[in-house]
Order: sequence, then C-alpha cells, then structure tokens
Amino acid sequence: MPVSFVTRSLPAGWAFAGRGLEWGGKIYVGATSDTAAPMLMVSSDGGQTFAPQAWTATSGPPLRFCARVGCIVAGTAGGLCYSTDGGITWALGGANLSSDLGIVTDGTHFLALATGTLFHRSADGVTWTSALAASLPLTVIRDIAGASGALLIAGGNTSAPRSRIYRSVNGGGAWSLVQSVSSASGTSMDRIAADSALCAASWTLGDGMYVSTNGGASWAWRASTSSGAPNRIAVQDAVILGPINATYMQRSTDGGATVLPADIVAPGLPAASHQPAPWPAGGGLWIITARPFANLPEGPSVAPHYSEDNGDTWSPITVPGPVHGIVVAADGPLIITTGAEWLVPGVEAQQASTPWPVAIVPALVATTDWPVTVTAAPELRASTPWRVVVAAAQQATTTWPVQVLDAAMLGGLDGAGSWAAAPDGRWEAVVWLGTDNISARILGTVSVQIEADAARTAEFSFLPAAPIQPLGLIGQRVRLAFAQAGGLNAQTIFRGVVETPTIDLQTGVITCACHDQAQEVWANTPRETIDALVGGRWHVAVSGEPEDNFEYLRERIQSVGASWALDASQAPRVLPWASPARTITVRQTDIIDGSLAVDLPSREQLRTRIDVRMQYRYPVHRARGISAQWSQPMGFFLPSNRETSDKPAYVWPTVGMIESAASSPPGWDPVTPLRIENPPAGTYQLGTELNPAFYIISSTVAPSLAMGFSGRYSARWQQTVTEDYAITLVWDALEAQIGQPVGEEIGASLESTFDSPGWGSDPSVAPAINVSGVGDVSVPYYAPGAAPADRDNVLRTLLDRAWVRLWSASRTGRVRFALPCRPDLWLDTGCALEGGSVRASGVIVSIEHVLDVDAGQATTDVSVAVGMPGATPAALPAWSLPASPYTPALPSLEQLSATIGTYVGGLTTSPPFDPDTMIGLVTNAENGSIPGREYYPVGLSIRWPELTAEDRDPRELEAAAVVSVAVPTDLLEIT
Amino acid sequence: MSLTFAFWADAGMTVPNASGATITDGLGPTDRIVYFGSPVAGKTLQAASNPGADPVQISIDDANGGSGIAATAIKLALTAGGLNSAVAGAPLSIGTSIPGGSSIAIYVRTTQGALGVGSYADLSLTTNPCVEA
Repeated sequence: MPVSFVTRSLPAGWAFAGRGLEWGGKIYVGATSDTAAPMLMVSSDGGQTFAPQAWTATSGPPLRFCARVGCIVAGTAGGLCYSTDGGITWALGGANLSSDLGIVTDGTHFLALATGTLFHRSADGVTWTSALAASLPLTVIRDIAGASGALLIAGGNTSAPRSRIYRSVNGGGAWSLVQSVSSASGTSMDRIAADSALCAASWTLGDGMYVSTNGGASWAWRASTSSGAPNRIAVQDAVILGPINATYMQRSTDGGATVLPADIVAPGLPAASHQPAPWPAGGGLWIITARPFANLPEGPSVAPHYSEDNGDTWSPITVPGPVHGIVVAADGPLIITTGAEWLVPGVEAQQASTPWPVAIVPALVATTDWPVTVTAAPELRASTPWRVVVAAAQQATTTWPVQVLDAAMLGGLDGAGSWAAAPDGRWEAVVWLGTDNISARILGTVSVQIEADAARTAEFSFLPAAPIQPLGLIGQRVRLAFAQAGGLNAQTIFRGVVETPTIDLQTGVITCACHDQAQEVWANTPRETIDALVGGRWHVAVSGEPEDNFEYLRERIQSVGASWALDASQAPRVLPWASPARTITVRQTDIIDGSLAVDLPSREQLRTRIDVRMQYRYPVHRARGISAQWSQPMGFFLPSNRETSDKPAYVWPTVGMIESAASSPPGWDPVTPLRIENPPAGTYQLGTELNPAFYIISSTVAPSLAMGFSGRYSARWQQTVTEDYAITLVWDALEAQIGQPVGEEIGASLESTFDSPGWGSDPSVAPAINVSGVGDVSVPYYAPGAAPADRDNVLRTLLDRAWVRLWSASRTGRVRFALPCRPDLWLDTGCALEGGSVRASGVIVSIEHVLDVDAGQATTDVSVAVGMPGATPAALPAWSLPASPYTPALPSLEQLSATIGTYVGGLTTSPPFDPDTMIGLVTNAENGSIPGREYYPVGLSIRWPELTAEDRDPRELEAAAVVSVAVPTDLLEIT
Repeated sequence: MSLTFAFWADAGMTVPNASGATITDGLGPTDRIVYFGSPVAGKTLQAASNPGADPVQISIDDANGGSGIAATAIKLALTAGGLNSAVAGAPLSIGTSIPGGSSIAIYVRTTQGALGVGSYADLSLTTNPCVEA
C-alpha cells in the first residue's frame, strides 16, 4: 500500500514537543507555545486536526507517553503525570521524577527509566517507587521494554556476567536475571524491545540478536551472517528490525526464528553522527529515521524513510521538520515533527492549472434607456356592502274616528219636504285647515263641487285670527263638513288640499281654492288596482302608451259604462252608470222651488252608430317550389332507316347546355341537384336485316350528352297582408227615432313587424320556411303582441268603447234641481225624480254644495244624467268577431313549372327560328344542310316562372260587419 | 326619523288616512279599505321584537278602554270575505317583512254595536313597535 502524507499545521505560535501516543481512538502529543503554557494536543479524528487540551501538570509539555488499560502516564520535565479518565484530566503522580530514557508497561505496571542507574516503577501511575540499577544488580541500565506481563531491563554490570537482561513479573518489585553473556568489560545488553510475547535484545559484541518468544522469560541467540550489533532494535508483530548503521540492518521477519543477512541498504539516511532508529508504523509498515548521537532517545530525528516490505526497500518521506515520534493512527502512521506541522496519511490536494491570461481592456458599455414608470398598484378589493341600520322602534298609527250618524240625517226625501240634515234649519259649516278648526273664521260661502270624471273641488274664505303666511297654506289639508248647529251629525263633504290661496288685501280675507288630489291619487294607483276597479278592456294599440296611470284610467274606463271619482275619504272609486249603489226618490216637495230644470240631449250630442275600424297588418313569409324537367326518348334522337320511314338523327343536347340553362335560374334556388339523364352508350341497330345500319354512342361521348333532365327549385319572399276590419255598431232604435244615422268613427291599427334583412335572399336567415315538392307555403309572421289574439283583443276593446260611446252620447241629458243641503248625496246615488211634470231617473253626475255662512243658506245642486227614454237596461254585448279575411294565395299551375319545349330544325316542316317562342331545346336534324330548310342554333333555353304582382304586392283584405246593439235607456218623461 | 310606513286612504299612498267610519244608526256596519305601506321602494318594515321573525301586526288601540267605543267594534281582514270570519278587536298580521313601494289593503269593518248617535274618537289603528330599514 503506497503511503502518502498530507501536511497539517498547528495554530500559529505552537509547536509539537516529544513523542505522541495513540490510545483509545485519540492521539496525544505535547506542544509548546511562545505565549501560552504548554499544552496537551489531542486529536480525535485520527490526527487530521489537533485541539489543545488543558494540561494540568507541571511545567513542561508531555514528552513521552505510556498507556495501559485504565491509565495513561506522561513523562515531563517536571515529573510523571497520569490520567485515569482516558486523557481528559491529568495529575502529577511522580513529581520531579524523570523519565528521560523512556517509559514502558507490561500491561499493568509502569517502568520509567530516568537515568542509566535510576528507574521508577508504579502499579497505577499515581504512586511511584524509585529504584537504582544496583538493586537488580546492574551497573548501568541501557534500555527497558515492556512485554506481555513482564518488564524487561537490559544493561551491563561491572562484574560478570557483564551483559544482563532482568525480568520482573510483578511490576518491578522483584527482578530475575533471564539472560546474560559473560564478556569483556564495557559490554552489555545494549538494546531491548518487545511486542507482546516477542522480545529482542542486542549485545554489544553480537552479530545477531537475542530473541525471546515468551515475553522475555527465556532467550535464544540468533546469529546473523553479517557482522555488527544493532544500535537500535524494534519489534512489530513477527518482525524485528535492528539497524546496525545507516546502511545495514539486522532483521528477522519470522518471529525471531532467523536473522536475515544484514545487507539492506536504506539510502538517504545520514550516517555520520547518526544512528538509524526503526519505528513500527502499523500494518507491516516501518519508518526509519536517523537520530543524531547527541539526542536523547526521544530526541528529534531526521530523514524518515518508510518500508512496506519489512525493510527490504525504503522510500523517503518529505517532512517539514525533524521527527519526534511516529504514532500509529487508524489510517496509518502519524509523523510528529518538532515544528508546527505534522504529517497524516492522505493525498495532498493537487491543483490542475492552466494559463489564464488576463487582459484589461477598456469597458465597452452598451446602453439603452430604460424608463421606469412606477404606477400605483390598482387597489383591488372584494367588498360587500354591510348596511347597518340602527332604528328606534316606532308604531304607525292612524286615528279611527267613528261617527254614528242619526239615520234621520239620511232621510227626508221622497216628498218629505224636510231638511233632514238640519231639521231645525240651524247648521254650521265645519272647516278644518290643517289641524286647526277655523269654522268660526269662515266668511261668505263654502262651496264644494263634485262631478263625475273630475276632481272634487272646494272653495272657502276666512279671516285669519292671527297673521299667517298665505303661501304656507298651499298644500294644507282641508276638511269641510256640514253639521247641525253645535257640530252635531257632521257629514264630511270634502277632503283635499289647498291648491291656490288668494288674499284680499283690503279685507285680509283669504280664499282657498282646494281639490281632492284626484289626478295625483289616480296617477299613483297601481294599474292592477285600476284594472280591478274598472274592469273593461284596454290595449296599447287603441289608446297608445299612457303618460301615467291617470291617463290609463281615463282610457280604460271608456270601455265600461262608468265614471271615476274620489269619495269623501279620497279613496278612488269607479261608479257604474247603471245599478248605482243606492237610489233616492226626489219629489217636487223636496226640491227648492224653481230649481228644477231639464236639459235634453241634442242631436249633435247623440250617436246612433259608431264605425269601428281596425287594420291588422302583418307579413306573410311565402315560399314556392317549382320544377323544371324535359326529356325525349332515345328514338327522338336516333336515326331510323326503315323501309317505310327514314328519320335523320337529331343533334343531342349536351350536359353543358343543361347545366348552363338550369343550374342557377334567376330568382330561384336549387332545392335538389340537377338530375341529367345521359343516353346509354352502345351500338344501336338501325335499318333492317337486309339493309342494316348502326348508330354508335361511344362510352366517352355518352356522359356528355343528355336525353333529359329535371330539377326542383324554390324562392322565398315576403308579402304584407292587411286585414281591414270595419264593424259598425248601430243603435237601431235611436237611429230609427232620429231618422238618420249620426255616427262617428273610432279605430286602431295593430302591426306585426318583421325586420330581418336578408330574409328571402339568404336561406340561412330565420325563420326557415321549407317547401317540399311543388307548390306554395305561406306562413304569417306574428310578432309578440301582434298575434291574432291581440287583434281580437283590439277589436273587442274598440267595440266596447264604441258601445260605451253610444251610451255616453245618449246620457247627455241632464235633470237639475236644488235641495236643502244633503251632504250625504254623492255620485254613487241613483236618483228618481218625480218632479211634477218631469219624471226622470238616472245617476247623479254632479253635485254642488253651497254653504252660505253669511246668508245662513245651505243648498245642494244636483244634476242627474238621463239617457234616452225607455227605461230599459242593456248589457255590454259579447262580441262575435268577424272571421279573418286572410287565406293563403294559391298560384296557378303555370307558376309552378318552367316552360321547356322542343324544336327541331332542318326538317321539311321546320318553321323559321323564333327565339321568342321557341323556348326549350332547339336542335337540328343531322342531315347536313339542305337548301330551303330552316336550321336553328342548337341550344337550350328555359322560361322560368315569375312571381306575379299578386304574389308580391301587399294584400288588402277587408272584413266588414254591422252589429245592431241596444243601449241602456233611462226614464225621462215630461208631461 | 319617523316611519315612512303609514296608513293611507288610497292604494297609491298619496293621501294619508284621516278618516274612520260613519255608521248610519241602525243600518249596519260600515266597511272601508285603508291601505298600509310605504311609498319609498327599498324600505322594509319588520317587528322590533324579532325583526324578520315576528309578524307586523295591526291592532285596534282604544285610548279610553272603559268608555266610548270599544276596540271590538272593529274587525280587520286582508280580504272583504275575511271580514265575516275576523274576530272583533283582534289584531291582524300582515307579514314579517313588509317591503316598501306597494301598499297592503286592510279591510276594516266598523260595527255600531251599542253605540248611540255621536262621534267617537278614541279608536285608532296602530302597528306593533317596528323598525324600518
């Protein structure tokens, strides 16, 4: 195994001192510093790094170590130290006890050699016993060794045997002489070493070595063929190295059985003043250095070499400084130097390099403007409104005043001649203006006008008790009532608001003109409510889109015999002309003398008939399918040569002719592909057996010829249809009475519009209209709101309005009279008047209450609408509408097919060619050009059917009817 | 801020109700329609006791419980036919959440009972405490 080393360095200022020790996975080496006390350097990573550890011993770093289980002993200049915790902590065991010549152990006891005559021994590293060499006895101790279970001392004695090896198995308490050699003076056992049981020793004069394989108990001489005694000796496993000098070495590689010839060359070792020292490096690896003579045994040596073959060959090791020790680490020998470096097995990091020329050139900068605009990030938030309302609980309240009215207040008619509302003639006008009762301030008259189909109005004047702001009166709520004196049995005759206050600057009297907000109330009334109140019919085609619901009311109510008004509580009411809610009978004695008057309806006001006109217009989507076909049998074209007849061939029409004429006819879209029948290719026998002839149509020619074709085509167009309805309602009885019609016309129009450009010309434009085969398809288009049901609705609305018009026109007569104030009378009251020469009945259509405070007179003027005499009720008819006059148009046959004839020239009978009449296939006989005959230009023309005016022009379809109606009549007799 | 919900004389909520009923002595009860609602669309009326759960009720309030006209003179219903089966003096529930913009027709039947001829002003129609949002 090749050995390579990596150099490591201690921190600056530190240097190794002495040998090291590998024990328990750690490496211990002493170190000195320029600025710090000596330290024990410890490596826990196999010598890769060293870290200082507190050295608690005496002065001087540890220079040598010896360890056995449970104790490490370190020799320093100040004594022997020990550690029993694996080298973490140290103590001085043998103060001032030198161990300069080495420390060994037998696995239990320690033996430290101070000098050649003094040694120390300890069983635990803590307590040491010193002894002299003379105690063995020896004159000088040369070397010590520790074998398994035995301590060995090698030395010389002045008396024979001069060369001696002593052995102790009790830690140096007693020594036994195990090997000696009697020799001349000055000789001794010089060196001794042991590794477990194998021991080796050198003798001053021996050319070989003493070997023991039993821990030094007995020894045997191994002679070498080379002369020279080893100056140093080391044992590792079964190998013993004993270098003689820098050149030669005694070696045993077989456990001491034999000694090899000492002719090993270890080049590079300095010979002068040096002795080679072998270092077991573990794993069969040896390192040898050269130690100067002047050094202590543990002094630094130089020129290390290594051998992996037990000393057969050596290679140099480059070290940064003299070597103090070789420590056998797990990865290999650790070479401890005297400097700050040491070597550990490894591979020096190598660097691959390549020239890297660097040129400094001026920087070239390409620039571009980079405008940066920082815009505020749009703040995007998801949010939801979270309305919080803090509201105090409140109650909505309305007072509910209840008045129990004496029934006598409502009596007093039918000839009673009394004033029920004020029996004793004492009355008062009750006027509330806002929250103030200003009855006492009223001057002049309080008047209230009530009229069907109109707002209730009122007027009063008062003299304010205190200055007021007249403009503040506008909109003030007003309530007017008629009561008996003292306010009894007050009956409300008006509720409303002040519309216009006026002030008499002379008197200070304020006059308020008021109304009941009828227009506002009706305008705010929902249509559903109006529909429920009125009933009847309404259609936008008749009335147009109303501006507001008030206009809607006035339009809708024209379809029923009724009027509208607000009652005394300002609630909207619909008041039928027939069947009033209540009726009164007024007799002559009830009315104020001279107040009775009758206004008869004038002829101009009457109507005997109403012409109802309605136009219903809609488009009809029309489509027509036509066909174009032509054919002739083979025999038409083939010649024949018979005994009795001879026919030439005719020129065939070509497929091209047909396609040109029939593929895209103007105004028509092909529905099916053009079908062309080609003549079969083949040989056709003409003539007879005796005189045969053949007509050949080749297979290459036949496809280009035609003997017939057919095609289907269609066209789409719109036609406008207008249904014009004229329905006349006739009141026959009145017309007969008057003698001639007096009428008016009402009408409406309803139109269904279709606005899709391209319909007709573009088949893809909806709605689709499919025509299959030949014939017409007509599909009326009804837009939403303009369907036939809507037409019917419009007609019925018109008819209802017409009938009501007849009725309202007949109700223009008025019977007027005055009564002492009857505040209970209203428009919902039917009135039968038995007024002496006048008998009439009808519904009250207007009332005016006049309360003259100054004169003390309170009257009610009543106007009753009366219709034509007859007193005959009549109901709104259930209309039977005329049928729609629309029927789909039916085309004639010639409108459904194309005209295609057949004309042959070159025959004796062929007339001159006329392109105007010869529409179809124009061909010639293939008989050359016979003079005198008419030959035609061969071709195919088609006369396509066209849409007529009847197809395209708008259709006006009329439907008329005359409906006799009856209209309610009233009682009106004048005698 | 006062309620926009109120009693009205007309369905269009134009005229605040200011009248009650006039009964002709001995001629039977008088039926009238009064409207309740707010002309402001988007408003909602709920009972203050438990908004959205408890019903809004219209009840008859008698200011003078021991004299005058009693609350039992009035019946309330949501339809004309309902007046026949309504309990005299009983409140009328009109819903738990009343939207503004449209009115509710309240049919009111006022019965003379033992009342003599005269005017009685101690009755009113009122809602339970409500909140409007």
